[in-house]
Order: sequence, then C-alpha cells, then structure tokens
Amino acid sequence: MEPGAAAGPGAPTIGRRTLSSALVVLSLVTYGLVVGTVGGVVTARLTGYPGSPVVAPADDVPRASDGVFKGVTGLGIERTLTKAGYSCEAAGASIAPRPSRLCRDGRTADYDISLTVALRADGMATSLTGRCRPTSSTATLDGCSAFIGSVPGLLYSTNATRARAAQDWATQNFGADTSTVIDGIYYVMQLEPLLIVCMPAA
Amino acid sequence: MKRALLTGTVTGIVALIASGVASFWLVSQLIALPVAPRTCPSGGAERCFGSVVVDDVVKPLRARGFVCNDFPTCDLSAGGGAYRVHLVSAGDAVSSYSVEARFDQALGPSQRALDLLSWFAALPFGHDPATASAARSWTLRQARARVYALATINGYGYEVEGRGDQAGSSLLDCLPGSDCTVTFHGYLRLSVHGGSR
Repeated sequence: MEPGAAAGPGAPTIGRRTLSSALVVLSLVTYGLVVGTVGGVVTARLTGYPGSPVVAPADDVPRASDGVFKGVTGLGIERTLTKAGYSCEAAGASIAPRPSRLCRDGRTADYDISLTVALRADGMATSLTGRCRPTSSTATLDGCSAFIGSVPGLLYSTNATRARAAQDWATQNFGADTSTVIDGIYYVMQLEPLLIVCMPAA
Repeated sequence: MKRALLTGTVTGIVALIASGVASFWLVSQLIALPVAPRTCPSGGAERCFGSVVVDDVVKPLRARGFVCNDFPTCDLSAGGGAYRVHLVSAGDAVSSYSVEARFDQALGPSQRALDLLSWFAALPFGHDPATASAARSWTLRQARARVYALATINGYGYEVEGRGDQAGSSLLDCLPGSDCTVTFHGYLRLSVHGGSR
C-alpha cells in the first residue's frame, strides 16, 4: 500500500468539512455585517435624519401667557375700585383688540380720573392704565400725584411690601416720561397726557 | 463543525457590532452636514431652506399663543413686548422669514425677545449644532450691539437691524392699553433668506 492510500477515503471528507466550516463562518460574518449595517443606518436615520424636528424653540420664547398679571383678575381689580367709590363700565373706544373695563372716580369734580383695565377673554388682566386730568382752572397737575402713585398698589392687593416699592417709584417719578420694571411688572409714566401704564414685563 | 459554528458566531457578532457602529457613525456624519438652501419646489430663482417647512415655525408659534394668518404672518403682543414673524413660503417650503420685536428702548430688548431671535437664527441648522450655535451667537452679538449687520452663514443670508430704526416696519409700535399715546421705540429685526440662484 502506498503512503497516503489509507487517507484516500478520508481526504474528500476533510475537504468538505473545511469548506462547509468556511461557509458557515463566512455566512455568519456576512449576516452580521448586513444586519449591523442595516441596524446602524436605520438607527442613525431615526435619530437625526432631516425631516425630524428642526431646532425647537426654547421655553423662553415669548408666549401669550406672559401678557397677564399672575393671579390678578379684572374682576378683582374692579371689585377693589368699586369699593373705593369708582364706577365701572365696558370701555368703548379702545384700539386694543380685547375687552376692557373703564372705571371712573366721579367724586373729584376738579379732576377727570380713570382707570382702564385691559382683559383677556378669560378675564385675566393684561394691563392697567391710570389717567388723571385737571378739569377746572383751580386744579393743578400736582393734585393727580396721589392717584398716580396709588395705581401700582392695585396689583399687589395681598403684599404691601411689594406694593410699596412700585408705589414709591410712581410717586417719585410723577410727571416724568420714564419707565422701569419692578418685580416683573413693567411701568410706564408719561406726562402728556398724564398717565401710568402697568403691564407684565414679559 | 462545532468549532466553525463557534468561530462564525463570534466573528459574526463582532462584524455586526463593527458594521453597525461604522454605518451609524457614517450616516450621522452625512446628515450632520449643514443643510444648504435648495431649489424651491415651485422652481424659480429663489432658494428655499433645506430642512425648514412652514409648520416647523407656525405650529410652535401658535402653541405659544401667536395669532397667525394665511400668509403666514404671526403676531403676539404680550406685556412690554410685541412680536411679529413673517414667512415667505412656496407651498410648504420656506424661502425667507423675518422676526421683529418691539420693546421699550430705554430698557432694551427682553430675554424673551432675544430668545425669539436666537431661535430663528438657529432654525436652518437643526442638524448642525455647531453652525446653529455660531448663527445664534452672531445674531445676538449684533442685536446687543444695536447695529445693522449682514452675513452669509452656510449659504443663508442673515440681516440684523438692531439700531432701533423703525422705517419699513409693519409692526405697530403702540403700547397696548395706552390707546397708542405711549409707543415702543425699541426695535429689532432678523431676516434670513435662502438666497437666489
């Protein structure tokens, strides 16, 4: 018998085994590559492909709710004013595209004193404007000082300390054309015509 | 055969992980490329934003209480600030937009106003945070310096009007509640366009 003759019948078996082992390894690697690539592409596209949400606005981007006084309703202000002797009605000629209430103090004959409360549809107050105008020759603008200085107090019915800072500013700046922000509320004082506007600073 | 199966499985898993990571990285890099202006669907010389459609702007604004018409122009007047966003669109695509804000000149623009500008400055680059950040920084720098400035950022034309110049503005300067006896003299505008071919 020639050397290797004994291996004769086994040789094709080993070759087939090697081949099938290689095929198994190759197919598993191919499977891994295909599945991995598909998985990677799909994941990448799902997590950031154009068409997914673009830059979202930050929370601080303006919103309508910035425009209302927190916890201050038109009804609450009106109630306070009515108790103080004012009479209120729907404001007629206003360019503001929202319902407003006009409250007048009819007790002072020499002055035309009024407060306009701008409201949102849900009744929350969006601005407060106090106006004062002498109506007789004996009345002076200085007579409006106490009223103008008192207007910010309507926004702090439950906190006298916070009210004082705003009222002090209004009194000290009476008759000036100026503005400020105190405690999140924007105040504008104007001389001609004499008025004070209060609104959320936003 | 068992050994082959074991080798194949291990190598297959390694190949799966390696190809998964590689393809994820490659695709992520590709889609992170700046989204340049592209031809508008309607054709013409104007170019539209690569990845911004009308709803990307109008929906979030409406959710915040802006009132939008069909042009679309969206308005909001809230406290000591008034804002207007105007889009020039071609179907769903956007070819340019402008953002205007009015405020008390003496007090300067509020953080709210600057955040609105900042959002619109970054809007074209949602998939490119670095460029978005650069666009934001440039815009806010001009706004705070109260100057007029122009720039081109990755193909998009940027224009900031920060001088308080009100000429040509359609945004009312009346202070709400004052029956227009008090006006906002502070004014900021950012315009961004995709340019033309």
